Amino acid sequence: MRRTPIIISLLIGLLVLAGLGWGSAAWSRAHERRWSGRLDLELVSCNHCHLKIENLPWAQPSRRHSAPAGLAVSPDNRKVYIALDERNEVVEADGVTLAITRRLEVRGGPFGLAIDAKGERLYATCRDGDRVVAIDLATFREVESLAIGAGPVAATYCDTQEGGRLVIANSVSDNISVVSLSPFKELARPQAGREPYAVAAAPDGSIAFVANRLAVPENYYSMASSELTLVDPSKGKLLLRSPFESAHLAEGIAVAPGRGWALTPLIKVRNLVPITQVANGWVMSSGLAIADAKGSIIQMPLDEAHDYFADPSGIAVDAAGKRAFIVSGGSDTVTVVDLELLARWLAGASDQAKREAIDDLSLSAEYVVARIPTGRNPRHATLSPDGKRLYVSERLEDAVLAVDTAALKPIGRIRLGDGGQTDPIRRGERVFTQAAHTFQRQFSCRSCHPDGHVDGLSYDFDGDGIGDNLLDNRSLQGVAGTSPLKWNGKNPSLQVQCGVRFARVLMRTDPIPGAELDDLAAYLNSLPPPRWARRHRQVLTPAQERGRRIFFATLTPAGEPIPRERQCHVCHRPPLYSNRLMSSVGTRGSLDPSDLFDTPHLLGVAYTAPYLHDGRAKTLEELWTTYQTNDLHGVSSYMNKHQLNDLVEFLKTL
Amino acid sequence: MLAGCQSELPPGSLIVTQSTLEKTGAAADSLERLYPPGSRIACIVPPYKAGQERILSAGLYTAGCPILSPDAQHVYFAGKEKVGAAWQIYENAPGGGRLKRMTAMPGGAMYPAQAGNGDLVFCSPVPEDGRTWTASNPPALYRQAPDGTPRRITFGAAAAIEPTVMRDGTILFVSAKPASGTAAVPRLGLFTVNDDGTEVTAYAVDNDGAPGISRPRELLDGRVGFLASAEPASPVKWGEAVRQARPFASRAPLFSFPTSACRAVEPDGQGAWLACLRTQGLMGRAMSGSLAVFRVTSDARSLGTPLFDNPAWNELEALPVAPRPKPMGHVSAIKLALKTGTLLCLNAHFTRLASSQSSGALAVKVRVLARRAPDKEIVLGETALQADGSFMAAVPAEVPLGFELLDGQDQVIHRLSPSIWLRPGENRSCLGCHEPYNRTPRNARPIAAGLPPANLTGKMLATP
Repeated sequence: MRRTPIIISLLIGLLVLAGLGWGSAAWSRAHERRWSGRLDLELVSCNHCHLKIENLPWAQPSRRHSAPAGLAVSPDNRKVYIALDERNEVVEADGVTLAITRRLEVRGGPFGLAIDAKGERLYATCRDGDRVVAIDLATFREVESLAIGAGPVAATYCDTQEGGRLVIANSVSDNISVVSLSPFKELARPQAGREPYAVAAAPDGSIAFVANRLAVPENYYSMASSELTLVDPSKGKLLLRSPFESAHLAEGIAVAPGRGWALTPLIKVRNLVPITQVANGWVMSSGLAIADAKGSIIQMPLDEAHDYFADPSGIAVDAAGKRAFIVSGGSDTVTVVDLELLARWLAGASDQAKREAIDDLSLSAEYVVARIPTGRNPRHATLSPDGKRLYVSERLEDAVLAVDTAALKPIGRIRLGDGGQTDPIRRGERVFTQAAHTFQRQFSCRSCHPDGHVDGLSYDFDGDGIGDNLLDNRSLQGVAGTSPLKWNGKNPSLQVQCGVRFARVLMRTDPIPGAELDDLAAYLNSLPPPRWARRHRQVLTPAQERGRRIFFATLTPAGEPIPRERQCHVCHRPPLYSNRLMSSVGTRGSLDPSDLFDTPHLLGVAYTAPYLHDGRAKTLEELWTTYQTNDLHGVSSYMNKHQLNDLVEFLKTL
Repeated sequence: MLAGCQSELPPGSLIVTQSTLEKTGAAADSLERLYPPGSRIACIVPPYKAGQERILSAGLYTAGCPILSPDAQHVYFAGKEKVGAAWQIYENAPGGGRLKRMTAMPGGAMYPAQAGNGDLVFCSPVPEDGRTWTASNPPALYRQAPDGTPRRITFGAAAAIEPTVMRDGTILFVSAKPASGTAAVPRLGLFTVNDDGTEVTAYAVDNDGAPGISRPRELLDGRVGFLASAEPASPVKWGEAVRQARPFASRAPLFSFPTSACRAVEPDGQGAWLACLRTQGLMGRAMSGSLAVFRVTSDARSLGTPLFDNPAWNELEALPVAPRPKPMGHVSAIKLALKTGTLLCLNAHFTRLASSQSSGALAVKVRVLARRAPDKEIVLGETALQADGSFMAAVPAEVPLGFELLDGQDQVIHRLSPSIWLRPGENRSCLGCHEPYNRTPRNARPIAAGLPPANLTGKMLATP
């Protein structure tokens, strides 16, 4: 009998809890409907909308490593200079003992290095600081600084008839800074392709060759190509723009003296072919582009029939133009190309054979004479002027490898740091850049996501059958907190995204083990949106402010209400500028299985072209012009070109 | 010194196959021809004294073709319990232990290998002596999980034998190219297939030397070695190799010195090879004349003294008891519940055949064939080639498929006899018809990929 009140109390308690639960659910649903304008939503987590940027992993401080970037060697072969962008340092090492002799703090992420002919000054391009600094090598002090284009990553020095020049690749502003050294000033800033990333000059200083890393978005289902840009270093005049046909990730360039060649390692991409397999370079392979001063380009394979050398980047050519050394960051290898053998093959080949050479994986055996193993993630390479030493920056090893070029054997390392094995983010970057997880080491995560960003291409995965629409490759910079992932919103986490499914669809080999997957997720979550630190909390210009009002508008200029679900900021809700829900915005293609697509976040959207789930829109403007969807993707039909420009200007600030 | 497990074996221990020196007459089957009655698997340890072998196949009537698991903890080999019994795969520890039968295949099992995930790979059935390439039920590759059911993974019209698992996880095996005309000698070649039976692909050897090919092995120096012979059934074999960088353009002798009868070449894990060669006839040597084990370096100019030679036996095979990297695995995407796969050809006009081998006419459609039985080939249907030469078709899974390119008058321009297959749910692509080897596709969207696949499954699935 004494149990009855307890039971009644429990029942009342349960009823109250149920009522509270029902009420909360009802309120939540009404709240969702009110703010989203959509009636089709089930309950979603509060953090779809309510989260704080400062709580995201990429907003937290992370460990800085002594990762080597650009390299330079003094004209007397005795000193090696190394840029450490993460540590804001440039260091000098002894070429014989391989010991570090001097250090200099250089703010702004020094990345690319160039040295003048006399060895008096070293120039460092600061990727995050948008400047180039001159370092006096006698005192090892920064003596001059010059603001240039955005994201300078590489520089080359050349003597011209009108004096010494620096030619600098500005990877973010997509242009080239041509700088005179006396006085130290920018002469011109000609336009380049997308992400100019490497520079080399002809020995006589008449031409500078600039390799651009990313392909320029093309029309839907068209082949995208990156660009080789030729400029006149003396005046900064743009001479020629020539495509690396169906290729990208051109991150290095070197001139072969005596041959008139500019050599660029690149990835030959085959994104238009359905990914039914990866064998036989079906998705991509590595190549070497041979360009001349007229912009003619022949692409040659660097891979083998059953072994691949992924993510080729840095290249160095000896002064005699006899051998090229190409580092492959994905497979930890230096490939040695005998340029005499290569020239011999070219001399005997028909035009058709040259055109098709890049597709023949058995051809590299004709001219590749050695493969030298390196530490993790070699990215830059340079030769001592006497040609006896090759230096290779092993970026994720915190070391620079020295190689005897006669014996083709490593002889030692310049140790810069501990490799960061205790840092999960660093370990994750090692996983991200390692091609060993892919069948026959064909590519790494970085092959499609350079530095975690986009390659600007769309791919046709065959998981749902052959021939469905291409899927735009999305940036992983700023991915933390944006799950679910994929355009179909099927992957709840990075671990799921990059695990067994990824192994089945793309890697075609064993899945990445669990511990490595966690490290990989830690690395990806640590990536901020592109250039976030520079854009964050910047004061808006008048045009950007007008654009912001359009983005947050609830009424058209004529005073007509915009349906809630078609207001930009409802789906693209701050702070991520995504409510992380599936939405139907009228973009379904003829072969898409659904109207619904994941709402992408917009942080750094200006850097992630092309747009929409299949990459059909080359620019932000095309979203509301060429691919306008009768106001389903935001009400935009009322906009004139000025309003559209204002909206785009605002989007560029996100 | 009765070692019961591998950890007790000293470094340098070897697993060898030995057969008696007695001349044997008729063999009961093709494997008994290679491993006559009395053949045995043994473990030998340094300093490799004759007569001190530990027998791993004790109790078996005959045994042969051993392999070692990547962790060097298990030896797998084919064995026969008694005269008249079927060959099956057995397992033992390298140092000796309890013999365990791994398979129970009707018709027998032979040539074990081990996939990246540890599954056993083998061939079945064992053909009659001299009938390997002419058997009506040719041996195919099977895969079997530990204590699991064997699943067939190759479905070609010709035998698939002597598998070995490469470091990249693919299975390399010997098979015959589709018959051309009335050629009496089969055109053997090396092929690869994923461990789930998908993506069967020609790997090396295409009319570029002696037609007999057997016992391929990845030599771990950038080459694949194999035994070559003037006839597939010839007992006189010699070592050859192809470079993995360009397998179809690099076939060459393996040894730079003359050899007399080579039975096996295996990498020794230290940059050299273990070769089983006949000692008889070697320059100036007074040896037993039997087959013995030699350690050979790739730059050797002559054959040294044997590493191990028991004059009372022929050493047919030798492999080192040492761990090696596990081959890569493969996450399968096949769907066993389905009965079809999808084939996409990027450009049927793309071919390596010389113009003399075709009429010169332009193909306008493709006829897809299937082989239902050795003497029964059926036409599954025809589909038009798109303007770029592409076509896509849904085809029955797990049957040998062939193709005929037809011109506007329905004349056959090129023909591939039924030989390749698709697994259920497999999406398979090819660059062309008899396309050049080791080519990547050109980056172009095939027109056929934007159209529904032609359904060519009905006739096969409907006909019993």
